[in-house]
Amino acid sequence: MAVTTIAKPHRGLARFLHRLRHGRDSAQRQFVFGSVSPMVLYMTFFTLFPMIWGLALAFFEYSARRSGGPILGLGGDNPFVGLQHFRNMLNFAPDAPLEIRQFHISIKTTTIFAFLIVPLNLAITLPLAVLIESVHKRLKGIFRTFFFLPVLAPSVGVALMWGWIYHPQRGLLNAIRTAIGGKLVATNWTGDQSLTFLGIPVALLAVIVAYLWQDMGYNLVIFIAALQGIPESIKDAARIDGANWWQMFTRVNLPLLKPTIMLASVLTMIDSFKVFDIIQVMTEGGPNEQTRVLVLDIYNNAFRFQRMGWAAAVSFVLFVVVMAISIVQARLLRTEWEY
Amino acid sequence: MTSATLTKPSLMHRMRYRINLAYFILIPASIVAALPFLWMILGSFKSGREIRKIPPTFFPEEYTLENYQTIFQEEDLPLDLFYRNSAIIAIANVVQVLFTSSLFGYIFAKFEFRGKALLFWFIMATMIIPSQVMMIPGYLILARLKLINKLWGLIVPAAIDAFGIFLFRQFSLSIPNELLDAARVDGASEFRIFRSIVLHQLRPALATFGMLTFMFNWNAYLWPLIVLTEQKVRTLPIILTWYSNMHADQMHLTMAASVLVVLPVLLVFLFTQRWIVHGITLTGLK
Amino acid sequence: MSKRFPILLISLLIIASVVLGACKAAEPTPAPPEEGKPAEPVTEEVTLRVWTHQNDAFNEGYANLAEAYMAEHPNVTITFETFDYDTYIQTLQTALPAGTEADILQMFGSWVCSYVEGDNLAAVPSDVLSMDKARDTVFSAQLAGYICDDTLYGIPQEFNIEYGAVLVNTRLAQEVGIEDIEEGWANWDEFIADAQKLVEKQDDVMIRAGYHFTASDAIPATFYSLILQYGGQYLTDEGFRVNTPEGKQALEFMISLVDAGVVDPVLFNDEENWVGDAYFEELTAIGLVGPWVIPEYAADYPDIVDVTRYIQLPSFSDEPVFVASSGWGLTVSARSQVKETAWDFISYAVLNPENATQWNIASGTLPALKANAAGAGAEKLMAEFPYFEPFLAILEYGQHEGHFPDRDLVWYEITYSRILNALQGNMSVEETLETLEREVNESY
Repeated sequence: MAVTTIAKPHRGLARFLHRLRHGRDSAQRQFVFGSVSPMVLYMTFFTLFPMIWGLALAFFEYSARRSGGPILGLGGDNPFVGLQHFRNMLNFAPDAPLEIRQFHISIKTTTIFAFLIVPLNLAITLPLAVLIESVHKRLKGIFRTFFFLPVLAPSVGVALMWGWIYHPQRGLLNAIRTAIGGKLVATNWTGDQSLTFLGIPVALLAVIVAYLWQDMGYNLVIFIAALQGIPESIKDAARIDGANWWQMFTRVNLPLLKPTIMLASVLTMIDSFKVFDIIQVMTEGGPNEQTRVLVLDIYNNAFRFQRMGWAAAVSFVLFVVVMAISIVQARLLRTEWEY
Repeated sequence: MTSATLTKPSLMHRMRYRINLAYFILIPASIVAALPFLWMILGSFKSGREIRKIPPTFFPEEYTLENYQTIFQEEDLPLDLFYRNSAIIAIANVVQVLFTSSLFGYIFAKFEFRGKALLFWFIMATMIIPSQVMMIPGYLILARLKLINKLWGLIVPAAIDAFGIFLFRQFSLSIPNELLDAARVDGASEFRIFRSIVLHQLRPALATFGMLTFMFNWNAYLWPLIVLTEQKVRTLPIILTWYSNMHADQMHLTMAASVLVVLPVLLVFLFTQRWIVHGITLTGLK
Repeated sequence: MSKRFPILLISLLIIASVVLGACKAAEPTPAPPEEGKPAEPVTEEVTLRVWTHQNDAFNEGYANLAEAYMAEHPNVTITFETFDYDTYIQTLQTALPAGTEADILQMFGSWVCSYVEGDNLAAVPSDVLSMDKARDTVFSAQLAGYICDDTLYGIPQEFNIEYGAVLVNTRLAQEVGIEDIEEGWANWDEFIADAQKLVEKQDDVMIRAGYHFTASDAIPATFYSLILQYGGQYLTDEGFRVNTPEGKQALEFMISLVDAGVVDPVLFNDEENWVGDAYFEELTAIGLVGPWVIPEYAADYPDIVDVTRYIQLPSFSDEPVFVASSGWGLTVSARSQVKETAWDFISYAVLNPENATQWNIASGTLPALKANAAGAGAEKLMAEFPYFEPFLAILEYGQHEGHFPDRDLVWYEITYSRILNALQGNMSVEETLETLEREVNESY
């Protein structure tokens, strides 16, 4: 791949250069060997090795609290349990052990979370991108900056901010409702498990709103760039044909943006399957586990309750989910190239 | 909804109308988007008494800087120490990741060696693996290397960034070979060529990717939360949650601390936003 | 093919050596006999590392003791490393098998046995404190947590109490016309009547609770103490049992408190308006939480502290029995190279009644030593913390909560969340008790 054709050089020189680049020149070999071999060592130790270790853990009843066997503490007090963890995941009995039910809850919650985030995100960012793209050039940058700022804020800060917006007695949201209604309201947005909207816990929706607020800037910026990439000639042609705003959006922008939208959806979905920060800070998975997501489940099991073997098995599930989405992404990218 | 009125007027007229409509939506939307920030900043200037009012006030009745003074004076919260920890980790990681990414990106783009395809495939494959999947074995390795509760623990395992290598390989492909060969003919060593020619060519990419890496490290929460449990080595994001736990109902202090953590990032961004936005549109990376 | 992977091969070899080497290092290595025991000259420089959880008042107490000890022993240097509560557990759990821990580890009594399991903690040498002497000097509720398989692994410093007496804001009580609140309550009906008067509502929203007992320590403490007071036991020979008549009585009583309107468990619990915050913000007039909260809030809320009294709760049994966790104390790592010095410091800090009192005063905690709950020690403590009085009177009725493999899981993840669920009206009494019993038994 690194071969580039050299524009008509002298034949001898070409051979010389070719040898320089691909041949047995010891300086180059030294350079490559000297750089690549430490990297290979490093990656074997810090990437490959933990991958294998993590996978192995999923087959053991492992807790870092126990010393266990001679190799990596596996075996002995940390016995090999084979596929037990994965079999347990399929135990859907209502009286299954707590961590299994918590796993089921986290899978369900994470899926709802991801499948709500993607359409909501697109429904906001796409029109917003078109609107921003349509305003004066100078203001365009200002608006873009504005909506992009939350992306850069540490998610912990975002979670604290929104936690205080949702605070039942001192939050902004209830204050606005109190001001409008003239009657004190103290809805506990993130803590009242009896509240649902269309069957979805309100606490989960509250977290989703905060997540959307922080996350949408990415897609916005990507869509604005994609819109700028649409050739002016196509837009002009549509305008001359008398297309209105809506027609421009549905007939010109959307079809041309389709590959970008697909890609952005996939990336957004992968990220929402990995959500942790906002939820851990805002609700810790509560109320009554209504916002318990996969990474929180992994974190709690591994680092609070020392069920590392089980947590590794749950991590493996997360890996499979993300990989499945990534494969879809690869397919989408390929179709994009075909155009 | 506006199509009926839009069909008649001239093109110019129509465009102006549409743009006005855009402002109608964009300006309120920006206000809504800015509200959380405003709520935080205004909260940080309210007194402890005012912040406990039910229902709360929006604008402070009286602006006070007391909260900022308090959090800077608090002895168990040496903010400067946490700034320092965050900065050390972020800067060290930016430097090493830029170095390794550009070096290996360049090598993958311009050299042939045994096992190259396999290695490249492996590095690309690691991009798919969520970092959360690696956190348990990663933590156990650090525990064995005795790097838990050391700033090194966040630096040592972070030297290779698969995405960075991929990115710099793409950029290095466009470096003309003539340039490299000319240097070789002049007798420059390979490392010298990398240092003075390749890095020079990769400058814009280095700036963009450096910013993204910095941001990522500065804001990181989960991994530092696991690795840095001792008080004096913690970074800003994890100190912020500790702070809010300790002062659960002293929201005025928490908000002031949040402002101090969020603000530097936003300021840096305002000066470098071109690079970051460019980087994100270029890469789709977070 | 094989020629292609020399680098990989070498790296695999290196990893293998690191893995095995690190494992060796990670194995619990008893102190090397050749240099540990025979001669530890007094003049030798010794550094004692101490790990504690982040609590300013506690750590000030430690700092004072360490300073005094170092003045007496110039060859000893004591250094402290602190962790916030949540991460302290995580740190201990992984540092211990990795062998990176300090010499002296501050432990919550209820955790001790789970660390003993991996041979991580050193037993208390009998010349420092024999088991018999320990039973004579330390309250059994506090000692129990430190005894694993009839061996003592540490010494508690405080009596951890989360039940028995409640924080009462006497100013608010007077405002609503309760003049005699400091005289206490003869029975629960009187208590509930007062608590109801202290509730404040606006537009049907509870803006001040009467009695906040719905935090994550208060719920288990109340529930299990009530079971004892009703004459039941939750730890039996057949395991953990709460789906019993007494368990039902206890839970139904707690629900009746909610039904009486003294607290809204949706707005007042552990996540929202935690009892310490709520009490000092005057969002609740009565709160159930141990006396350790007062030093935590004293600096920020001096005027509230002035009007605060702890008042004994009514009891369903003649003796006001209650459940207690074993509190904070000190243990020594099994791998420490300076065990002798470590135990010497611990006995100086914990077993010397005067020093123990001094630490209790600095940290605002109740004494674990029986001797300090009465007499001179008690007087000193009460001079500093008058609100200790109702607690000192009932310490002897404390019963240890029992050994659980993972006490925090049982207490917070299971008991607190299930019972809060029932109090919020989202689950029936029967279902709650059944779930609770099953989930706790699973954790064994």
